[in-house]
Amino acid sequence: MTDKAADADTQLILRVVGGDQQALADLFLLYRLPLFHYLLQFTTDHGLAEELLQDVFVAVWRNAGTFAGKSPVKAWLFGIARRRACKTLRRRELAFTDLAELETIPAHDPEPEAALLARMEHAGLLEAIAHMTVVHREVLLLIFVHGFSYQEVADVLEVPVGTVKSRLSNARRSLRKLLEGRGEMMP
Amino acid sequence: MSLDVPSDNEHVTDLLPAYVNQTLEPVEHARVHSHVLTCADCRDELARWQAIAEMTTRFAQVTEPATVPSLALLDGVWAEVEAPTRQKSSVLQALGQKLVLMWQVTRVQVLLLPRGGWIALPIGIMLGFLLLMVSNEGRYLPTMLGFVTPVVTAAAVGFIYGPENDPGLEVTLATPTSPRLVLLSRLVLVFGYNFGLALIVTLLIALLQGGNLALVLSLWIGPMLLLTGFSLLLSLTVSTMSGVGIAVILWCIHYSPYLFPLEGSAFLDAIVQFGAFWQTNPATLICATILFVLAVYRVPRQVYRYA
Repeated sequence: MTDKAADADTQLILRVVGGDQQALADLFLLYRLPLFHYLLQFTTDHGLAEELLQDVFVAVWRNAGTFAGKSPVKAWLFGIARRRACKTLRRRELAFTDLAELETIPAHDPEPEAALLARMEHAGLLEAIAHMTVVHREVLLLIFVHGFSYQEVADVLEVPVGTVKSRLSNARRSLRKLLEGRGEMMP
Repeated sequence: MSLDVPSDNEHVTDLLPAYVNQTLEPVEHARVHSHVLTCADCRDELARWQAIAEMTTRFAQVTEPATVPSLALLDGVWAEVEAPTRQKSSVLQALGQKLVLMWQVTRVQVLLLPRGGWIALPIGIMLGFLLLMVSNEGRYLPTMLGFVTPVVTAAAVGFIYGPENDPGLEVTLATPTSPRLVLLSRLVLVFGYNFGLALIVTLLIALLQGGNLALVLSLWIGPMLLLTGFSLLLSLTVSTMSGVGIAVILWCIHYSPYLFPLEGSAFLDAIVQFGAFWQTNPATLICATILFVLAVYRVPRQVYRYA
């Protein structure tokens, strides 16, 4: 995200603080799709994801004054979305993370993914990512799709930057384990 | 990162995902760039991360929702904003909700705490108790109980939280559950378990030897709380081994007159003075409460900063 775009977002938030409904509508138009896509990582229920998206913008309207400007508006919005999703799923006793996430991922990592990936079918790759745990898939998506920096991911997840790095590393091991589990032979 | 890549400071493996998504500061980006040009290991690592980035992007493209959320959702936002504020739940309701959450978290902690502990604790208490009983020819059972239960509980509680002892801590921190609540629930579980065991032994002693039940209880309840408070606070502040080690040393010093009778020495006088600290009385209970509160506040509560 360019500095200019980030400044424009901050201006929108300031207008929301001032009670400008159009500014909230503009924010909604800008971020409804990435936020909705992000929320679908937590639930496959599109109706629930829409409900969560609505909650996010209610929270933005009510709490825009608390935006401190330490991270870009986009990271702030993702942070709100994550908290709303976790809170709602917990309240409804829906699974957010499962015990499989507690498994220690072996550090043994002898072969390059690039070669493995080159041999795998497109569908196989997508299936491997789809089978990753939310915690691991989420950090990859935040970095490589939503384009956040480590610090911004740390702000969204409310964890230290060191944890973001270790989570990335674990996500990679998890992905590798899933790819190997599909029985693809190494070159 | 992979084990075949050295992890010394010269390598830039940690920064490669950020290099791939171009979010590094210009100076850092240039450093990684020049390093990758000269380091074959990091070049391999970079190729892996580029492959993962490409795969993740493809996944995002495929899973992108077919329909964009409708602008009509904004009507829902305004309806919610303008709706009368929901009546705040009563104090009792709020307390009930907190207790339910505490129960749910505690139930999960039973699975996460090392299973061996549930067997090792009673065995530890019974072994200590039997050893002392044998060495004292079966006398002074209540005093033995007063020695064994606080130290075993303090040692067990010292291990309940922290990266040293909790392989699932990272995942715990990734969930919306407050780490403080996790600590509190583990404390209740482990302390409560030991308390229950000690209570059973106390009742057995009361049945076997008779005597004043309240007096026997007072021999271990206050010291157990105080010693456990010390152990937990030091464990969270310094390290697990320091917390447990210091608690054991303090307790051995307190009980040294029973273990090694030293009559009439200045050391014994000092120990007797020190012993006055380890009683079940309001002062001890207040001190123990302060220690527990400080320990619980050492662990962060996941504060919802914005919404």
